[in-house]
Order: sequence, then structure tokens, then C-alpha cells
Amino acid sequence: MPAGEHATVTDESLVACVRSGDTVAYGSLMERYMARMQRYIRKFLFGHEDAEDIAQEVFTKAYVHLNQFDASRSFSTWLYRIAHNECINAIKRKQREPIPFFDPDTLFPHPVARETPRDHVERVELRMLVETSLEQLAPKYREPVVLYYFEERSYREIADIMRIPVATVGVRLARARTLLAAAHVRDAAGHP
Amino acid sequence: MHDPIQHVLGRIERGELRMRSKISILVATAALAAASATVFVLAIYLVSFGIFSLRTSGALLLPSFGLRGVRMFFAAFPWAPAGGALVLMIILVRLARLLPFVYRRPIGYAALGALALSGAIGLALDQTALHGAINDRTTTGGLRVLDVFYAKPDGMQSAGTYVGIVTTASSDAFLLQTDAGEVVVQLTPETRYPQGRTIGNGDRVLVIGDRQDGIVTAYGIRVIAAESK
Repeated sequence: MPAGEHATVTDESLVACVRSGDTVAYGSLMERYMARMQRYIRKFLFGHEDAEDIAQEVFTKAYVHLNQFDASRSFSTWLYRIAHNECINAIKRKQREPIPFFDPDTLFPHPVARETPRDHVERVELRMLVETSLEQLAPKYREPVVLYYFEERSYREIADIMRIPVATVGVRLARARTLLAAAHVRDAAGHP
Repeated sequence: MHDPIQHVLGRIERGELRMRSKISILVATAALAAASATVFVLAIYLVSFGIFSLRTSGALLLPSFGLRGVRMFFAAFPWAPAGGALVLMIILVRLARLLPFVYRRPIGYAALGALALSGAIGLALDQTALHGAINDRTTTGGLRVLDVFYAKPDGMQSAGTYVGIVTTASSDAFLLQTDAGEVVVQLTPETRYPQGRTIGNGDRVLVIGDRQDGIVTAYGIRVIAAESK
């Protein structure tokens, strides 16, 4: 497929081209997602790692394991999953923040956790607010916030990226909002 | 300036990056599936062995003797296979969480599902002759490696519990042939019997009591189902 046509085809079709040996198609996929991956990594790791290096590693791993990708599912979610693993590995390597082996939030069902139309409005309003406070959140709350408010992923996509129950995504976002609100109040009190 | 896209494309073109073949992915998936199946089968085996062990040792009857019986039940409980099955089920749940329909739901569901499934299959397996046959082979020396699981009469007796066949019965005592040898069981007016049942020759019974000078003073007696063991 000529390089110019790549802009109009789906991710999954590009993956099929790459699998059949079209390296340029992989370049097009990287063009599509490199900036998004760097933004996600930068926000998740909050600037403590080189987002460019990690994003490069994400695309290296994605290429090596491309035959593992199930074309009936979303390529972007699969790519975010690889990036999630790389970020978790980076956090573990630096031992900067604790990553719990087991999270009780994932054990039992939660009554909350459905996306509502109000969420979209809230998403736009909160995006500005949370950007400055992200570092105050633990990784398990920071990641769904980044994926939801900045990467505009749905609850189900976030569940697939983080491999946690869909309801847990809602619980973590709700808790993150509470923590961010408390941090905002603290900051406002400290800086009149 | 370093361009990450050109860097990755350059590595692909120079042959430094190669896509893993579909065959190697298939082999890895098959190996994972085989490992999961092995873990599942082992977990079911341990669960069914635990049930078999509780049933044939008569330990399931111990709580009917009250607080003392409950204490003995905990002492006689097959903790090793139960612990082993628990560890295997944790591994199984972690492996199952690679699947979307499992990780999208709470872990509690997967854990309860694994527990219910292995419990149901374990119970069904206990109804077959599998453990009885393995038990017979361990005692005849065919499967010495499993001796440690299947033959533990001394462990039961040290907990004050005796399981065996009544060989000679009288009104105030009987001889009990256990796996560890013959025991004299002394009956007293306080001995708790099964209601409406007398103890006779050939009965397979569970006795709990204190042993002194080779004589067990029975605190309670229960007849174990004839088809056991």
C-alpha cells in the first residue's frame, strides 16, 4: 500500500500490512500513536523517566509481538497495554513508588462505576484542574485519571489496559477525584 | 535531533528487530494452556484427596462429639493438601486473569468459580475408585512415593483418634484392628454411642479417647460407612 494511503485506513488494516512485510505501514502506525504514547507515559510517570525512550521501547515491543495482536480487538488498547507494562516496569526499576502485588479493590464487585453523560462535561472541566495535582496521586489512581481525562479512553478500554474489573475503574476514578479535591483545598488554603 | 520513529524503522530495516513468528506464539500459548490444565488437574486431585482423607479417616464425624471433637477435627484436617490446593488455585486464578472475560470481573468471582468447580469435580472424583485404588497400591508397595499422603495412622492416633475394624466385641470392651496395630477399647457409662446402633464384629468405627497402658478409654464412638476405604 502506498504511504499516502495509510492516513485513511484503520489501525487494524495497517497491522495486516505490517504483518505482510510493509515496514512503511508500521511507520504510519508510529506516526499516529507516538505523540499519544509519549503524553501518556509522561503524565503517568510524571516526568521522572524519559518518555521518548519508553515510548520507543513500547513500539519496539509492539513490533516484535505484533503477531500476538488479535485483529478483532482495538490496536490502540493493545498498544496502551504494552505502554502500561513498560511504565509499571519503570516504576518498579526505580522503586520510586510502591506497586502493590494485590489490590483489594479488584476482589469484590462495586456498586458504583458506570460512565454517565455528565462524565464527558466533567472530563473537560477536570482535565485542567488535575494536571497540576497528578503527582499527589498513587500510580493506581493516577493511571486511570490519565487514561480517562487525557487519553479519553472509556471505562472498558481502561479495564482492558490495566486488566482490572470495569467497576474498579469507576471506583478508582471516584477516589482519585476525592483525593484531587482534597489536594486542591489544601493547596488553596496554603496559597491564599 | 533523535527521531524515535526513524530509529525503530531503521532497526527493523537492518534486521535488528524481528517479529515473533506465529508458530512460536502458538507454541507459547499451547505451553501456557498445558501448564494451566496441569495446575487445574493437580488442584482437583488435592481437593478430592482432601475429601477422601476426611471421609475415610472418619474425621468428618469428629465435630459431632462436641468441642473436643471439633478440636480433634482441626488436628486431623488434611492441611497439607488443602494448603497445596489453595496455592494452586491462586496460581490458576492469576493465569485465568490473562483472559478478558475473567479480568473484567472481580477476582472474587474467579476465585469462587475455581473453588466451586474444583470442589464439585473433587466430590465427584471422590465417588470413583481412584483414591481407594491409589491407597491400595501405596500399602502394597506399588506407589511408595505417595505413602506420605495416604498412610498416616500414627498421625491420627497421636491426636487421640482411632479408626479400625472391630474384631472381638463384648459388652464393656472390644478389640480394634487399626493400621498401626491392635488396640483395646474400654467402654464406660459415659461413652457416647451412635443412637440405635450396637457395635459388632466387622464394623469399621472411629473411636476418640485417652490411651493409657495400651487401653483406650472411649469418650465417643461412631460407625464409619461400610463402603469407606
